[in-house]
Formats: sequence, C-alpha cells, structure tokens
Amino acid sequence: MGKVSKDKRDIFYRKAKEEGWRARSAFKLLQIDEKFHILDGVKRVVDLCAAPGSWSQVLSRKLYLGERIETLRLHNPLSSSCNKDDLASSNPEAAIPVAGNSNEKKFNEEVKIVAVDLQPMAPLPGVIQIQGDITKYSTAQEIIKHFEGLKAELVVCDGAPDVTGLHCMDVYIQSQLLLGALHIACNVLQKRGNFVAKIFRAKDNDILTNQLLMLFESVHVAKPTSSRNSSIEAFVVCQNYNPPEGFDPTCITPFLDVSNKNFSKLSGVNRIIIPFVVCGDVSAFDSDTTYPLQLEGEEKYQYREPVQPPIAPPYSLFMHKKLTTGKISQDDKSLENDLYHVADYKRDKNKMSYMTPMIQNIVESDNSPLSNSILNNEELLEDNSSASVFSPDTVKEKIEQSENFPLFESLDLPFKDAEQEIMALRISSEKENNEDLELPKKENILSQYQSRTSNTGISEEENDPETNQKRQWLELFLQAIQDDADDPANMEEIDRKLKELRAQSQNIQKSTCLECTSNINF
Amino acid sequence: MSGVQISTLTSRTDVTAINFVRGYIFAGIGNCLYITNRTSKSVQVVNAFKKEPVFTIKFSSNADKVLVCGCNTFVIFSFNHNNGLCKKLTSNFYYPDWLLTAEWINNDNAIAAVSMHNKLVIWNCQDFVNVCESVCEERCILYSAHIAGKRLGKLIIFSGTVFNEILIWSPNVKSNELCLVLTTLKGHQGAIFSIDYNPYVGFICSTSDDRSLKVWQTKKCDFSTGMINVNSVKLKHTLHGHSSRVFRCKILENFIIAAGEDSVINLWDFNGKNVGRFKAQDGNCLWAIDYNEDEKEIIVGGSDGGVTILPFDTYLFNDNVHCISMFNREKPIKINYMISDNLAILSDKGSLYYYHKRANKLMLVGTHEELMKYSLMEVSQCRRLLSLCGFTGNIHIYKEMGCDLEYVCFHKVPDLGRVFSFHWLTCNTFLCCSRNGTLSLWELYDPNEVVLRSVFKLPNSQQRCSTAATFCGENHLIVGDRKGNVHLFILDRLYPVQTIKKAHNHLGITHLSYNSINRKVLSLGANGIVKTYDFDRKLSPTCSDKLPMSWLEKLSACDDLLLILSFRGDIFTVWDIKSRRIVVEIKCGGRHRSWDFKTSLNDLRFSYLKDKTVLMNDYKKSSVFPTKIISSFHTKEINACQLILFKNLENYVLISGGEDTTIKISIGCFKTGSLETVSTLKSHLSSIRCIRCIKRRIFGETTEFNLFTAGGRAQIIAWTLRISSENGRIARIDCKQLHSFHETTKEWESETRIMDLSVLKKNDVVYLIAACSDGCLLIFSIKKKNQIKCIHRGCLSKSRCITKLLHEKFLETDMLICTLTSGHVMFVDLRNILNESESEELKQTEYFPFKTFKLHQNAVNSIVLRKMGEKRLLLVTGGDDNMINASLLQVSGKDNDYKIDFDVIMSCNDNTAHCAQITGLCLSDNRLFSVSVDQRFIMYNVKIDGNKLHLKTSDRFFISVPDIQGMEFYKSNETSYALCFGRGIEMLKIRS
Repeated sequence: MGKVSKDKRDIFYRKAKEEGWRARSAFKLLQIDEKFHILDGVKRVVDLCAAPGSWSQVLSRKLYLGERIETLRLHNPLSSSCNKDDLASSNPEAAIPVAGNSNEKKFNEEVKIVAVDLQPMAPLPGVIQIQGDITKYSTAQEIIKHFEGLKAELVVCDGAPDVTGLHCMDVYIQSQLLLGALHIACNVLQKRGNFVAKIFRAKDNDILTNQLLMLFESVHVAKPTSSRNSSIEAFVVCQNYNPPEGFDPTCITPFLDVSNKNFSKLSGVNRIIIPFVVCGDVSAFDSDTTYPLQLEGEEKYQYREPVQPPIAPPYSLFMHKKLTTGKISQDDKSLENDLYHVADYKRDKNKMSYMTPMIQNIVESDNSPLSNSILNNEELLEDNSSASVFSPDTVKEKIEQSENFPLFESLDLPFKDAEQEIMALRISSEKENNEDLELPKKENILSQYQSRTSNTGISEEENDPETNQKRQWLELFLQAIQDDADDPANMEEIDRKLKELRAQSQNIQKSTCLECTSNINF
Repeated sequence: MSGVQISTLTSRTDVTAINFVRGYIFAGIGNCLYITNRTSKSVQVVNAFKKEPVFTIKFSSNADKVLVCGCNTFVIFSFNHNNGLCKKLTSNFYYPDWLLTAEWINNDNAIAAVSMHNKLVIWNCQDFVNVCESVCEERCILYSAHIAGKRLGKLIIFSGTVFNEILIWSPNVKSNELCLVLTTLKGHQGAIFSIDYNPYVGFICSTSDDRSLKVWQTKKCDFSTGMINVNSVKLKHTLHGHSSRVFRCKILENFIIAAGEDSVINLWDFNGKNVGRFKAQDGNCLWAIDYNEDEKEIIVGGSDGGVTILPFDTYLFNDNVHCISMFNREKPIKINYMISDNLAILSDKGSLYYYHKRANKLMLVGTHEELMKYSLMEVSQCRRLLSLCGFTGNIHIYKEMGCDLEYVCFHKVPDLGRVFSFHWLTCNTFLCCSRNGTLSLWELYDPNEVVLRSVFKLPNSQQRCSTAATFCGENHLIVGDRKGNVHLFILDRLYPVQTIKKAHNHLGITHLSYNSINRKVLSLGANGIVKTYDFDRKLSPTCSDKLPMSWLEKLSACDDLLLILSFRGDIFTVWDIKSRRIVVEIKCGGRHRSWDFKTSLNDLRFSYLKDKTVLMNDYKKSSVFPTKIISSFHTKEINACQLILFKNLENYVLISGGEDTTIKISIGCFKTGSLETVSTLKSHLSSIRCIRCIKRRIFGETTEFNLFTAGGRAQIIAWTLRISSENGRIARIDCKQLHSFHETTKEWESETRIMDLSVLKKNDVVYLIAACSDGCLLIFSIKKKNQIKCIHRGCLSKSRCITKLLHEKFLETDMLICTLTSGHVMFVDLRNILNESESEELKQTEYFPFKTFKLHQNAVNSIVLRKMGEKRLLLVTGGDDNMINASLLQVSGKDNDYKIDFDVIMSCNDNTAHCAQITGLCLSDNRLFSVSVDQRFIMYNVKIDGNKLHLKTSDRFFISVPDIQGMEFYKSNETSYALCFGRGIEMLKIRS
C-alpha cells in the first residue's frame, strides 16, 4: 500500500514514470505544443526556473534528440471507433526510443537549449545549465552568450513559488514570477519569438494577461488536460513578440500595473478578453478521471520508481537532524513519507544513484536508529501479534532464578523511540504464546474452596440455598474454564446451566456513586 | 445598477493578522477587521478594504490610530479604547506593489512600509503623498520584512528573501542611490516567512520554510535609535520544534513565541530551550500571533478562521512536576489516583502505599507477597475502591476512607493461575478474565463478600483475553479483546450474541464506554482510532475517527468535555474530542509504565513512573483550555455545503465538509448572522466532495432527513439527521451514521472519487445516484426502514470524469443531467433504470444518454436548470474555461412518444465576467447568480428577447473567501441569501 496509491490516483504521474519523464508537468508542455506548435523548428530556446527539469527534458528529447513524441492518448476512447491495427501504431511507447538506442541517433547539434535555475539539476543531453537568478540582467547576458549573439526563439517558464497557502499572496507571487520571466524574455527573445509561462487563474488575473498584449501580437490562456480541473494553474501562450517602437526591455519594471485594479472599470469595449484555450483533444487522457491501472491495449502494469526524486528540499536539513538524533514527531506526514522513501531505497541499493548525498549518508550509516526501525516497523505492521510487557516465560524464568527477582525493571523501558518500543514488545509478546503454567485440578479447587468457606465460618449445610447457589456458580465457572469447554456438547450444557442459575439468582445491584463517570456524553 | 443591495452577513475565512492593544484584540479576517473587547468579548466588525485581506495591523504610539495594510493597499482608522469604536479616518491608498509590513514613524506623522520588491516607502500623514522611496541594492522577492526604528533617518530594514537570506539594510532617504546591504544573515534552507527584532533584548528571530527558527544575537540597542551593530550579529540558536513550515515569530521580554503550519505554538527561552508547547485545532495552519502583556496570554489565529487566547504564564514546562522517591530499596510498579487526589502506590515487594499529597507523606498500607510475582492494580470509576490481583488469583479490595486506605475484603478466585485482566464495571461489580477466555462477573454483595454473578466465554482465538469492558444497559455487557474484536454479551448467555470483528486492528481495544442517555458506545483502539456505535439490542457502528496519536488508552470526562488519553511515542497526550486538539502533551517515556490521569475541580493531574520514582504533573484547567474569541470552522477548503431551512424559523442548519475530511453541522441565523458549529463528524477516510439531504418524515417538532456525504476513496456515508425545534428555535440535532460504503480496493485496482450525488424520492423509496471519477454512475435504493442497497452500476463515459449531477423531473420523466470534464452535458433517462430496480441483484450496464451537448472546452463545474413553461428548459452551465453558457431547450419529441428529445432553440454565452473557473450558479426569477475562483459574485438579468437569449451583467460583489468551490442559494420574499464556500464561507444577503 502507499507506493502504488499515487499511481492509482493520477494517470499522468504514472505515465510520466513509465515514459521516463522527471515530472508529470512534461505532459503540459507537450500538450501546449500540440495545440500551438511552439516547438516547430525552434533552434534556440530558454527554459526558466527549469528544475527538476521536466520541461528541459521535453525540449531536449524533441529538439536535440529529435524524438517524435506523441502526446498520451487513451487507446480506446469511448467516442472513437478505431480498430486494433490503429491502436498498435499509435502506441506512444513505440514512438519513444529506448535510452540505449538514442546514442545511435544523430543529434541536432544546431539546437541550443539553455536552462536557468537557482537550484542544481541533473544533466540532460543538449541542455546547457546556468545556475543563476532570473531577475538579474547578467543572467540574460549569459544566456545570449550561449546563442552566439543571436536571440532566443522561445522562452518557457514553468516556475511556481513556494506556495504559502495564503491564496492571494501565492497568486501575487506567481504573477511576479511571471513578470520576472517576462523581463528576462524581453531581453533575450528575438522579434516574433514566443513565450510560455505559468499563471494562476484567480483573483484579477485578467489584468495581468491583458498587459501581455502590449508586447505580443497574440496571447492565449491555455490549460492542458494534464492540469487538474480543480487546479488554478494555467499557461499564458504569447506568440509573436512585437514590442512597441523604442521599447527598452531593461526598463520594464517587474511589477504589475495595479493602478487600474478595479475590474468593473475594465468591462465593456475597453476590455480585451484573452481567449482561453484547452490543450488536449478528445482522446487525450484527463487528469481528473480515474483510470484502471491496467489499461486496455497496454502492456502489463508494473510499479516504477520516480525518475528523479527532488534534490535538496528545504527541509532536508531538518530531516537529517531528526534522523541523526533519532527524534521524530509522529504527526509529520510528509516527513514520514520521505522517510519511507529512505526505507524503500535502502531495500534496493541500486537506486542509490538517485539520492542526494545527504540521504545516502544516513542510509549508509546503519547506526541511525530510525532507518532501521522504519524497516522493522513496516514488517511489524504485517505481524499479527499483540503487545504486552508481561510474558509468562520471563516471569517463570525469573521466579526460578531467585527469590528477590528484579522483574519489574522491564516496566521502565529505556527506549527513546516508539518504533523501538513496539519492536521490543513484539519480541516479548512472541514469547508469550507458550503458556505452560501448571494448572490445578478441578477437584482440588473445589475442596480448597470448601475448606476456605468452612474456615471463614460460613455454614456448610447443604440445604442453605445461598451457599448452594454459590457452589453451583462455582461449579459452572470451573466447568467453563476447562480446556474442553469449547466442545459443542459442553458448551451447550454450560450455557443452559448459566441460564438456569441466572434465573434463580437475584439481579445485580449496579450501584453507582455520585462521582461515577459512567454516564459520559459523547 | 439595478437597485440591488448586496452585503456580507456571515463570514469565516483565514485569520491573517492579530494584534492586541489596551484591552482589545484586533483580528484581520478576510477584508474585515474584527475588534474584540478582551473582557466583555463583544465583537465589532469593520470593513477595511474592498477586496484585499488584512495582513498588517499597527497602532500609533498612544493607540488612537490604527494602520491597516492588505496586499498593496492601506487605510487608517481612528480608535477610541474607552468605547472600542473604530472608524475609518482616511480613504484607501494604493501602492503598485505588495506591502509586507508597515510602521508608524516620526511621532506618528509618517508611515513607513516595505514592499515585496525590497523597497521602503514613506508616506506623510498630512496628505498621504508618497514622500520617498528607498530601494535596496539587492532586488529580489521578499516573503517577509521588519522595520526597526522610529525616525526616518534611523530606520533599519530586515528583509527575508525567497532565496533563504535575511538582508539587513539602512534606507538612504536623502539620495536616489541604491541602498547598500549592511549584512546578510545566511543559514536558512528555505524562504523566510517572518522576522522579528527586539533591540532591548538584542535578538533577531527568523522563521522559514525549512521548519526551523533561527535566533541571532546582536548588541543591545536603544530602541529610540533602532540602530544595529551589524558586525555583532551572530547566529545563536537554530530551533527545531515544528514538523512543518514556521510562519510567525515574536520576541518577548524573556521568550520567543513561534507558530506554524503544524498548528503548534512553541515557546522558547533565550537559551534555546523549548519551554512550552501548545497545539491548536488539528490541521489549523497558524498565520497570526500576538501577545497580551497585561494578562500574559498569547492570541493566535489561522486557517480555521478562529481566534483563540492561550494563557501563557502557566504554560511553562516542568515547573509543576512533583517527585516521590522515598522507597526503601523498593521500586514503585503501579500507581493510581484515589478520589481524594492522593495516590495508591504498589511496590515490587508487594507493598501497598498510600501517598498523602498535602502532607507529602507516604504510608504503608499492607503487604501481599503474592503480588511480588505478578500484580494487577485497578481503581474503580468512583476512585474509592482499589483492587489488587496477584499471581495466584487472589483479589484484594481496598477502599479509601477519609485519608487512608482500608482493607475491605479478600477473595480467592477458585481457579489458580492468573487473572489476566480485571475491569471495574461499576463501584460494586467487576469482571475478571482468566484462562481460556473465561470471564467472570462478580459483585461486592456484602461489604465483605464477593459473589459470582455470571460467567462468559470469549470466542476461541489465539489470545482470548479481554482488554476493556463496560455494562451496556441493564442486561448487556460489552467486552473488547486483544485482537481488536468487540463482543456483546447478554448476562445469561455464555457466548457473545454479537461480535464486531476487527473493530480495531490487531493491537487491540483499549477502552469501552457506554452512554446511557443517548445509548451510544465508544471504543478506543491501540491503532489510534475512536469508534462510536449506536446500541439498540445490537451494536451498529456510527463513526470512526483516526486521531493523530498512535495508542489511545482511556476516556476521561472533564466538566462538559471529553478527553481521550493516549500515547504518541514517548509522549502522553490528552486530546479534546470537541475542539479536536491536543490539550496537554507530557514527555513521560512511553506507555509501558504505570500511569494515571485524573481531573479534579481545578486541575488535570497526571502521574507516572520513571526511573524508579513517581512523577506527578498537575495542570491548571484554566491554563490548558483556551478561550475562544471567534469560533473556528473547517481548517481546509470546504468542497460542499448543504443548507437546511425551516418555515417560520430564522435559524438554518448548515452541513459542510471538505478537504479536512470532517463534516460539520452548524446552526446559523439569518437575522444576526451568527454561525455556531454544534457537531463535528469524522468518519470519512478522505476529502468530502458532496453532501445531499432529503426530508424523510416529520413527527411533531422533529424532522428526519436522510443525509448523504461522499468523496475520496469512493466512500459514501448515509446518515440519519434529526432536527428538533422548540419555541421557534432549533433545539436539538442528532446525526447518526447508517451505513458507510467503502470497499477496499485490490492491489492493482484504481480507487475512484465520488464527485457528486443526487437524491430523488419515488413511491416512498429514496434513490441515491453517485457520480464517480472513472465515469461511472452508481444507484442506491433506500427503502422505508433505511435499508440501503446498491441496485445499479454502469459506465457513462469511460474516458472522462463526471463532475456534477442534477436530477429533474420533466414531462413525467426522471432525467439525470451529468456534466463531464470534457465539457459535455449528458441527459440520461432514468425511467427504465428506476422501474426495473425492483429486482434484488446489482445490475451492471452502460448508460446511454439520450441527448448530449458539448457546451464547454473543458470541465463543466456548475450547472443549473429551470423549467420555462410546459415544454422549455433553461440550462445554464459554468466551466473551467471562464464561460457561462445559457441554452433554452425545447422538447422536440412527439407528445405520446415514450422517448423524449430536446433541441436548443436559443443560446448565449459570456466569458467576460469571470477570469477563472466558474464553480457556482443559481437561477432565481429572471436573475442568474454566479461565483468563481476569481472571488467575484456576479448577478445577471436573463432575458428572452424575441428569439434571442440575453445575459446581462447587473451587479457585482467581491467575496473575501478565496478558492470558491460553490454556492448555496435561498430566497425568502424580497431577500435572497447566497452562501459561497471555499477557503472558508461567506453568506451574502441580497436585497432588491
């Protein structure tokens, strides 16, 4: 459980792994390209905020490696009536060359792809990486340097901020990111070049998109079907860069013009409605739809590891700290997930190359208590034994050892970790299953009971109804406790006797004190 | 304009700012300012902005003026702290960038603000002309900023960047040159969310995406200058006390407080020691925090829309621990509180001690040698009786009399060997579990004699051992076992009459409790789940709630609150069921020690064993139960709401559910705008996407409904909801779970989401139709006695997800209208399906719509339909493509034809009014109302002019709730109410 659940939920997540993409967002660019053909014949392209690199990967495979990548299609869309032969030929996997084969292919060395990000990113064929800040002019200059004086034909940006959860702040920061990308695009984009960037469709995004028309001849807001219905994300596709005469890109302020913020002022003829376009046709997959893991006409489903786990998330240090000190708060779901990842990786050391060096260290050093306990805990979940500190075996042993046994030291377990604690319990409860205390004979007990009652002075007369009843109850109890009580014949007899005795006995007085909290409202 | 008045009646959304001044709490919630008198708790709401949420509240030095900032705008209010009146002094001023923070400077004659692009802006308070801008050389996006200093020439700016750095710079107001960064504080691994600087104590504190706080030390400064010795700034501590992002911090005289996404508020002293920890409602993402110096209390607010006051001074760790360790080479092994709050302590030598708390005296009560080998010590519910069981099956009973323990009786269970478990059922009855799963019920018949009253057997299993037991009414007993099964016994039957297998997982049941008033049973499991059952001769499960703790142990009552005692790793946790939050956390080392918890008049008491000593922690109730100033609501997005209205009542009932997986039942008032949650139900495994309700019957003042909720993990839950009114007010609401449909999927099977529900009633049978994300429709029938059965399952679209469902009876035809993510609207004839549904078996077929229109480019997210005369229907849809489409449909099928068909005779659309997904639509008379994720509420006039359909925008209103997911509508005479829900709710009042 867990590992496959994300595959079940999201077809694009699963397909991304199957087709070797670093992130599902690769499909978004592919779908945009399918609609607008922005990649056709492009030789100089810039990918801003590139990490983890799925868009760069699309650019690399489509432009540099020259692969023909068909967008994902459902093999048997309900609406279409294609026959089996068509299905085979349109298999998207068939169109993708296996990694080994790509070496034999001729690369398109004319193509220059420049990827810019503050974060490092795993290398990709044909992609030049610049680790820099997109808000700096020097970065623009460095990009152009790689194009040997020429300007870019296409600038793409799939960057999104660290979402704070405060909607209006996230939308604002996203718009600033877009303007930052636009700023650099104006400096590196050739006339008639194209620009694609992510926007958030929420409060007043129309004011922002309207302003893009000042710089581009055509502007569309596009939403690929690989973007969820519930997602506010969309993309501006700006075509034919055509800045006004005398426009100095270095002067463009990276803010929104918010003086005209009242949307009612924008209504009527003055307001240009930016067309909204959906990318992905009838047969394309839809990110909201649940598909079976095993799709018709496709090869057998198998789970695949993510292509590129995130490099150095902001909380990695926190993780490291917690891991080495062995302290972890249980309610931290995301952290737990990360840790489970570590556990997964530990199982399969071949996958180590994907991990960041820091995590590797943790896993390699086996004295880290958590990485071990996670593995154990997972096994534990499958184990059906229950937990207890008291095990008859240990009790017996200790009794035999000495009179003054330090038995209850085990009460104060010196464990720091819940996981370890559970582990220890498992061991102790395993032992508990053998229960071989010497059991007394029924007859002995009865005689013991008789002697006790006589000692305490209670009348031994057979005729006394109260004593008689007590005796009957006791007999019943002793019958019930025997090992053979569960035999159907005995069971019925005991049950019948119980009914009779209960009918004779008076009702139980369930007295309660004032302080009793038995009546709790919930 | 059409002369329509739109106003906000009720609103609950993110609390983004909190400030305390002179007995008043100012909270920024949405675009409004909520001013609460600390003493009287009366609230005044003033509107600050049209659209912007309030992010910053700053008071002038004598608190007569309040500066309020939100996004890129600010406004100034006058404030009279004698009567609490707050009035707008100025109009709203705009700046072309987001203002992160602001401060009064120059004796309150000017305002300084830092914008997101690292600029300082100054306004003078005479005319609010932008006096000067000072730009930092480092131009990058900031997530936070702090201004230190009170005079223009001597300001120090702290800028927290998206690139994990804190820039300290001094603005240069005289020249236009870029200002140099004095120093950069590096070390955080993520964006900086907040910075505070307190020159008196010489500390700078920052919080970040990397889940840490960093405390930087500087030389102490005179606050009047605000200057800082940048060379002296050194990283003092990196503090990890949050499991998620840390959003806010504040430096007090001796402490630092911080709050974060994990709903935790941490207190740190200047040595970096975590001295206090408080948990707000689970899932509440905390955005705002302030400190009240007078009362020594912290005020917090966050994503649940509530404002809470936490006492601070009594909230410190470890100053309330008492330690008993006077054993003469003996070790304590068991402890229990008695009614007097004194402790009974059993030692490893088999000696029972009584600890008199006030006298701090430990007295030997008696010694039972057989207890050395094995012992059980249990206290009765009334905490007057104490039982001790030994290795040989002897039972000793003690009673607390005055300030001593008296020996009541000795009893020998005539089966040698151990008593595996002992449960007090009442003050004079108890249940013992011995060998072979044999349970014996005993009564303290005479003060000195114990009598056997009944015998039971647990069904055969590997570990036949009871772990919890309770009486249930007169003749029933419920017992939980180690394997997680719950057994129901009748007193005169040997074997259980009902067994709920795996009520909790293999870790077992830890506690059972019965409430005789509402006949409910509650079980706690070691798997962290609380389950409730209705008891009516049999147990029927009603609710299942997974708590953020792993090992639930006991239930405890505290006044009118119910507390669950549990363990999470080595931490003992007290959880409040009603407010869904952790009340107390005590690091005691884990559950495998003897411990006891007791509530008394003013205190919560917890004792436990550690390192061979008894440790006692006492908490004042007043310090652990916070005061609510503004009540809270859902902690995450609300996906679905259902309004229930009553004739002649100004109250309404609101059922809501969403991403936080809880269903809330609240009572609201149309007159006062109040809204109070009366019940929170947690049964769904995943998010709730739709809620539907249908009236079932009325008896007297009580109305019974069938309520259905559905969502993620393909789960549908059916509930019975009873609402009773009394004297024109809603007096009582009961909600009981009837059935939960959730089939765990096989390993390779995909799990669908239920996207929408539709209910209809036909011949006393209620039909429930569910739309699934895999394009399937499920139909259930609910017969008179609430028997629910899935009768039909079929596929409508294999490749597209259904988004909305609508049922309409038109020309004697039950039609189902489905919208899809592909932009299609499909009409399905339900007649055949409902008629053939009498058969008992589940039918599987495909659904074939008799009519399909493609109205949108992609997902249709809202739909509304209205009959226009005999043969016409007006269909309005709103989509993800910003478009509203209105179509007038006319029946084209022949009169006596069984089949029905439509043609579109007129249509029009509008894509100008909204700039984001349209999520809610409503038709009322000739008006159309729409809401969208862009937070606009728009009113249109719908007109049929000859053969043309027109949609004309007439009024607009801005909703302060972000991420709107839908709208519920209600019209009463001339007044209409629109309830918009998303990241909070907003009820609009529309008057013609």
